[in-house]
Amino acid sequence: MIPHSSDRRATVYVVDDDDAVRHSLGFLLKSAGLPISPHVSAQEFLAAYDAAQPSCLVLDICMPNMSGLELQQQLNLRRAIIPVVFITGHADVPMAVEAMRGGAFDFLEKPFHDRELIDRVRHALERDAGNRGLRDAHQIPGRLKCLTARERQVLRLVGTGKLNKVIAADLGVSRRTVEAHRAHVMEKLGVRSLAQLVRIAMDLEHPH
Amino acid sequence: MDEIASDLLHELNQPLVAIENYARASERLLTTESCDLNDVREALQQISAQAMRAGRLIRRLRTRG
Repeated sequence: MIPHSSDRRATVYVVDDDDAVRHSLGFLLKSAGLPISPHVSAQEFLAAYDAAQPSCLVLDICMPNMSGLELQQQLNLRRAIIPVVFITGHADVPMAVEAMRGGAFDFLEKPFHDRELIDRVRHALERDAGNRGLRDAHQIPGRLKCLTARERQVLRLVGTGKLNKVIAADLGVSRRTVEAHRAHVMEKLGVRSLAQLVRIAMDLEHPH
Repeated sequence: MDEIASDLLHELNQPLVAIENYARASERLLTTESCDLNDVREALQQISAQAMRAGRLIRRLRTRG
């Protein structure tokens, strides 16, 4: 079964090479009820990063080995959609411009107020959830092609609001068979709820 | 300002940021009903350690004369 994003709690990745800054950022975000995943370097983060997990990234721009900007490039190359909130020690305009050009979600200069950080992180997580919704919706047409003719038929009938036993009678099969088809359809489409399945089935009948 | 002094100033910013974060987090924790005082104690210990770190850096800046 393909996991659905809303079933997993969003994580805030924190990447900063300074132990005290990283730990204190994590401590602050946790005090605001946000689950965190701290990493000391860009490499360590990349090894742990799970694209399937709803998340955002709080990233120090100046780090040895791989800087925050280099990590952003890596993520862009991987087509990762994770929103990045950059943290910088001093106002460096060219750096800020480069970060924003690279698609940064936001940019915070140290020192910043706790509210600023927490608000931006929450907004970044909302953006991530929005991106995921769009991306998942885009995947549906491709996944529909994987359905068998029978599964497609069952899906259409689900969209008309018919009960399983009615669909079974319409198709001349047992209710169990209909239930099995429906389970396969949900699995192939990566859909967890009947509500989502009905919405997809209705779109199939009446595309926007 | 020479490069070493600039690096030291950047270094000095780190403990100050950490202190700010720990202090704000403690305020937040103390306003929640399920506040665990051990968390606040941890933050206070970290604040103290970071103030010491900042002090050491200032001494290094001074001794460079």
